[in-house]
Amino acid sequence: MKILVRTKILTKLILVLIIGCVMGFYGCKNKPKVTIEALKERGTLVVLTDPTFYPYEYYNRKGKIVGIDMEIAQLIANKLGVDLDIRPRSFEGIISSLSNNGGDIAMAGMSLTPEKQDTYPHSMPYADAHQKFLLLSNRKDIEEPQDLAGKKIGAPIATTSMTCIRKEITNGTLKDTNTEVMSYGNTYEVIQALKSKHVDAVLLDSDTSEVYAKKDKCLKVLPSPLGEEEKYVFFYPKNVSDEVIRFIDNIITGIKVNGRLEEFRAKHRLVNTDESSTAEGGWTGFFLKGLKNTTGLVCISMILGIVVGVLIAFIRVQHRFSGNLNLSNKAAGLFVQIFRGTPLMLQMYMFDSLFSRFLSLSWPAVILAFGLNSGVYISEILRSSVGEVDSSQYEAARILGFSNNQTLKLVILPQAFRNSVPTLLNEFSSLLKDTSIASAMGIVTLVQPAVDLSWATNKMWPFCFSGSLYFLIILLISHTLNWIKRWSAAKEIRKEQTKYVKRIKPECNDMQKPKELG
Amino acid sequence: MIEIKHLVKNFNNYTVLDDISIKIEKAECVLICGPSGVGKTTFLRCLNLLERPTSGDIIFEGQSILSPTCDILKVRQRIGMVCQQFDLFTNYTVLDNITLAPIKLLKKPVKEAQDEGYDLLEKFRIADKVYSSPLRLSGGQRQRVAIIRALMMSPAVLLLDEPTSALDHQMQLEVCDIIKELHKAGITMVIITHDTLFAESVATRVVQMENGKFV
Repeated sequence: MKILVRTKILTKLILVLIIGCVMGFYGCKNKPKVTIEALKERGTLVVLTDPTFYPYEYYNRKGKIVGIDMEIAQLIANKLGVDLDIRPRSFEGIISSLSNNGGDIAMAGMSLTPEKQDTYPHSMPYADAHQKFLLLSNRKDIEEPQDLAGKKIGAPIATTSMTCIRKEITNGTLKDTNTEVMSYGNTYEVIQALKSKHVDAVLLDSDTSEVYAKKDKCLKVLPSPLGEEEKYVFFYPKNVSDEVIRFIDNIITGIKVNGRLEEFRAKHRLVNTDESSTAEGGWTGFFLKGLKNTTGLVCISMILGIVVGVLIAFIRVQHRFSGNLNLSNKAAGLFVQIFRGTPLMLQMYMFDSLFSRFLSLSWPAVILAFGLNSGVYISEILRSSVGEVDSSQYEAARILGFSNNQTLKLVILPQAFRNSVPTLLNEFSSLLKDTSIASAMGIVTLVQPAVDLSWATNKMWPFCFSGSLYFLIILLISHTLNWIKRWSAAKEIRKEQTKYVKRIKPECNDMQKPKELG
Repeated sequence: MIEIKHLVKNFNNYTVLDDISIKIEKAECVLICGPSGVGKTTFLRCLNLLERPTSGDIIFEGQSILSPTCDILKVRQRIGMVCQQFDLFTNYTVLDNITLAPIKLLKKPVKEAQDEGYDLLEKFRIADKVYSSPLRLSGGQRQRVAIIRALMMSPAVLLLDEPTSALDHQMQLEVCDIIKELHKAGITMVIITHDTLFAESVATRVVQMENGKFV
């Protein structure tokens, strides 16, 4: 018996590994070279960026992606005479997108590291990057970077800041056995960690640190930078033509010389310090975009989840009732185990890096991850609801002469669906709250506007506002589900309700009026 | 009508029915009595193949129901059964419960089935519960509805498992009368009961069951 179980587990593991490898080795497609002619013919310049890196790229109050890099992007697009298509990705997603031509240029405040220098074509440097520490103003004990040895430091994941810290810990100013490094998804999360005192200090690009310190009195920046200066460049996919590189290098030289680059920097370094947040009409657009994305994501994921869930549940229930579909049942079971056993965020990143080879939008990966994840949970809910229906109901139907399919359709499934509504509501409510994870992919949810507005006004009410919007959405969903439940119950007694009432003899006192079931 | 030859039923090495052979003629009313746990219900469940016998043969109207060529669904429509727990479909009203099978399986027109159903409900004196949910009925009322549900299919054979167990004396007499009528109408019946009333008034044959055998 033990050997049999071990063999089964081993077979499953091997299957999973094989599937994983096949997905991982999905071949590169040969795409045409990125030339100026090709761009002009297509009519758009596709720019990949991660809009969480202030002041190079970030969401403004209207939910539009702006910043120093975006200004340069618009300039390049104007000079080429094409439209600009800015596609937000996660920072790591940008590199994998480039490796399979998911975009024409990556403009995301990326520094030229020795590893990237030789692997990817890049532009000339357009900005210098220093790394400076940002911390709470009341930390009088920390004045120099050396004071942070032995403390907790935070930085965004996969950035130059992170590499810099690690270098300094190994053999530099931060060398100390107690020094701890915490990584976060993006700049927002890093700042939040600092404010909630999860870390003693955070390391960010000097521009970013200085602006946050200027805007927020409870933050200060250490004047001495950490480590060496880095250069920011733009990266291109491998099949870019030399003329494109030359063209953009000329533009960069041009804006350095004629002062426009400095204009861009000045414009975006000051804009967030504007305390006139009484103009909150501008925030409406941001919140609306977040609301639109959240409701859209949750609705599409719910529908996809129901489709996937019903399909899987159908296979498993059929197998249970009639013994057919053995192989499909096993495959479905494996699928459910994989998706239930891995975190949603991991699944999202996996799909993103898989799709970035031939798509440069984050949306399909996000919807697929949410839909499949939700789908497997829904399938388990439906399957268990069917199991909960008493076997005597099944037998009563069989006695009368109904076939398996008729029994399922007429007796079991209606009862199962009715039983499953409260649990389904639970699942949809989780799904709604999970949509906030999508912000790691650069998609605006109701979290970013609340966070931004809260920092701009230094108040808590934006969080309550976002929270209440989430609450309203779930209220809407729960009312809809309950209405569907009542409608399907009323169906059973709405046919010709009054037909036999007239025939009931007047002496009968306990006449039952038609009522809703349960 | 029904011929059972050397029927054996085992549940995992435990023998419940041990070599049972009996012949039931048309329009007979056979009563099966015996202590609890001897296999009466199992025997009844074998007759319409809710339990598959381990060995032996059951021949219904000339064809063996155990053979692969037999359409068991059609056979079940001809054999009506009322279980001891008289399970009604909880997602349908009483009227829909009793008319579901005639409409879906016998393809009767809805109006005709509903009229028939209502007449039977009146006969059993639960016409006022016509639109109730089964969950709101008492045990006796549910039992009557279960009997009606079986009768609506106009079966050739009726299998009843303790049909009067939950009923008061008055109701028992009424059910007994109805069984008498059905007997006169020519329906074959196999009834499991402890009720001596049935034995006196309606049974053509009484069979005692002990340790998985008929004695």
